[in-house]
Amino acid sequence: MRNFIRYTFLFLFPIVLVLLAIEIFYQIAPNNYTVKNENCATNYQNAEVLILGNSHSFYGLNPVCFDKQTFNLSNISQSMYFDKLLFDKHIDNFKKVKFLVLSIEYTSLSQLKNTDEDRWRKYYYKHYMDLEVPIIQSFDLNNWFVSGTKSFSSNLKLISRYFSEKTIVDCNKYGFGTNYTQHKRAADMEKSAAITIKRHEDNLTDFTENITAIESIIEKCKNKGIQVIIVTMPVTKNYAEKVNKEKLNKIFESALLLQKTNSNVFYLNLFSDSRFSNDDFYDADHLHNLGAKKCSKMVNDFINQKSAKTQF
Amino acid sequence: MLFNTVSFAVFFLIVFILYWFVFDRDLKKQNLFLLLASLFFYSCWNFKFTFLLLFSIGLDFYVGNKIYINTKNIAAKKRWLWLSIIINLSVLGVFKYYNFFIDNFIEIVTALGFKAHLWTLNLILPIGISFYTFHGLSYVIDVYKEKIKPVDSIIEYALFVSFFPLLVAGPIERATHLLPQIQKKRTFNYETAICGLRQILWGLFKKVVIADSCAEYVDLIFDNPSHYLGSTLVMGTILFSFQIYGDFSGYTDIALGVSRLLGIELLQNFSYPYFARDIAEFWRKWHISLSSWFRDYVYIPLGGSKSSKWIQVRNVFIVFMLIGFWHGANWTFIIYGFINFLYILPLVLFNENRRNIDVISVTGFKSGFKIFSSMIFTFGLVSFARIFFRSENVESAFTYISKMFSQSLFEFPEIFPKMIILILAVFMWIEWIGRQNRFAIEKLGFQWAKPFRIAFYYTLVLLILLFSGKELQFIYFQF
Repeated sequence: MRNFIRYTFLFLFPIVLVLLAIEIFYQIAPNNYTVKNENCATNYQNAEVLILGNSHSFYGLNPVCFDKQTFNLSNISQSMYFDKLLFDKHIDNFKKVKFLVLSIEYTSLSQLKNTDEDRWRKYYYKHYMDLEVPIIQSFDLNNWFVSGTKSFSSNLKLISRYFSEKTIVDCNKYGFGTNYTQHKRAADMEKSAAITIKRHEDNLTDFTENITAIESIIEKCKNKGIQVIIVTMPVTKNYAEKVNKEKLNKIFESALLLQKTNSNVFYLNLFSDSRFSNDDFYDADHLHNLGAKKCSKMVNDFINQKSAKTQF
Repeated sequence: MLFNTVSFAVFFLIVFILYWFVFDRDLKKQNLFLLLASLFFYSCWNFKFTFLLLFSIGLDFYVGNKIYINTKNIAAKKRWLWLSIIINLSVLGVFKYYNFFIDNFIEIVTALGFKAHLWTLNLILPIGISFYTFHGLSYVIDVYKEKIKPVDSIIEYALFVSFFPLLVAGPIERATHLLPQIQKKRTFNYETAICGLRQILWGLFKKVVIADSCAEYVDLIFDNPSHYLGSTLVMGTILFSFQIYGDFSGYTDIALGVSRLLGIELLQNFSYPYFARDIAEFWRKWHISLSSWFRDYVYIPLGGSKSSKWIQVRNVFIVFMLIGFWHGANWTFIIYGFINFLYILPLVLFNENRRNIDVISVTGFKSGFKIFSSMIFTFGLVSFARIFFRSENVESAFTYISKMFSQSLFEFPEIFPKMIILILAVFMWIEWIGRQNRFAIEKLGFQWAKPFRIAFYYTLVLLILLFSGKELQFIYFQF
């Protein structure tokens, strides 16, 4: 038995060492989540506009383009479940926030908690953003080994990116996604749309879980005198043509109903807005940096308009 | 808790340490600990179904004793046997086949112009139910046939049925083989343990590198067969054959390796089936514990090959239909069984079914070519039948086949994963080299210098790590 343990240990030692090194990298290398978490705290005293949502608002709404001090707390594949958890955790600390921009996209209302990318991103929220995440079980091994949430080859790619680019952070201090630039945009939007819609289509039209979360956010905003701007971000024509129209209309109707039933809610639908062309997009459903500038100004104008009305 | 996850590695490490260092002095305590670990392992899937497993254990343990008590009372003995068979198969039937029978009954009744309103049940199939039901049945039948005496301890019996390496996807063990090992004090053996580790490594390689890589392409092709050329569909069937082999034999290798680390030898379930020279040999090498179970508990009791040719053909037919149906409540599996019956029929009729029973070896170019052609032909037959195995329903299987045999069969396939094909070639080469052993790398590299052997193992580990991350369910868990 002694020999068995010794030789097995010797054989496994280098492997464990490599895995440990990867885990240490995960623990110490700054990423979007850690950067957002840190900058979120620094914006507590100044931010007047807070943005929540997924990659569409992460890459599409640049706080620099807003007249009011803004912080973008949205993130890639951030579900409504995490929007709510982040909102509940931070909103009391944002002393000056007057507007909450909440993006509702084609996938936002139908994505159920703990599905899709939530299954592994949940650990990042817990580990890097200090969120209490009820869907994580206490004896789950990934509570302690964040690197275990991704495959070995993905981890190697990430580390190699870190060494070549010296960073894996893709957002600035205002929380805006910086790596979707115009010059890197997809060449074939039709192909991009076909691939994306295949990934996005879940054929679910029961929005109860997410509408309940939004209503809870709205209610809390109402109590704090915060206006909620629900935005549906623009997409390319190629993408818009491929979505399930029935489901899309149901999403719009849900947003309009929230506006109708809540005095502090305003809805801005940019989904098929004709002011955007395919040149504004990075891929089928994301704006690039210049498109984001255009979109952010529109949202800013909308906020200013609502701000003027409420002041009047 | 899948075998190829960190959770299982941690679970097994704890079990291994406690098993050898805490409970090793007292066999009863060691067995009790192993039983509790097995029940915990099973309850990780669905806690409620652990009670169904315990019911099955309790029933067969009780019946086994009753049969033994009534050894001289043939009628009572038979009654107890049938009670066990009926209850076991009823439980299996309700969970696995109820909806299938109801749906088909409704279709028939509707076709006859009547209306039928029968309830279908929204049941989850308890994982491993087909495997542990067959464990229990083999025990009861063996007690009935007086091949074994019933065990006195329910812990020993429960461990025989629920031993965690084999609980969810076999091999289907026999009481005559496993129970004596449970009842005997086990001592740690270095060579056996190292052999176990080697088999786990090879099993992980088969699952993660071979099966899961093929699965990506297989899913793509089988999900939309009408989008692809006939040649691509051929590629899909070939890749599926490797996927299912890598998946199931990989699982089995891990199960056998894990057991070996605990000092328990399980039955060999695969013996290089893709080197089979005819279909009869293939079924002696593929899922051996299932085909031999049907041989011993169905084929032979029905008369086997001892009666007339007609009776033998009938028995073979029954066995293959049952093998097909065992896999699941779907006509695709029944057709799969039937096709295999058709394949084996000429061999049975011309008494050629036991022609190839020796380990395959090739000497000379001429015999090499002949053997190689027969292996390829057998592999082709097996892969073709598996179109039914993999398809969602009979209609999609026929769509797949009709598209496959279209003119586009002779065009170059759109999907031709060079890297996977290269890996498959190397994999088959290693399997060929090791075909005389229990698993391909059992003795591979024994004559090499140690650094080369270690480098080979590290290469396997690296490949497993690089290909890991998909965490696909083992195919046979659904059966």
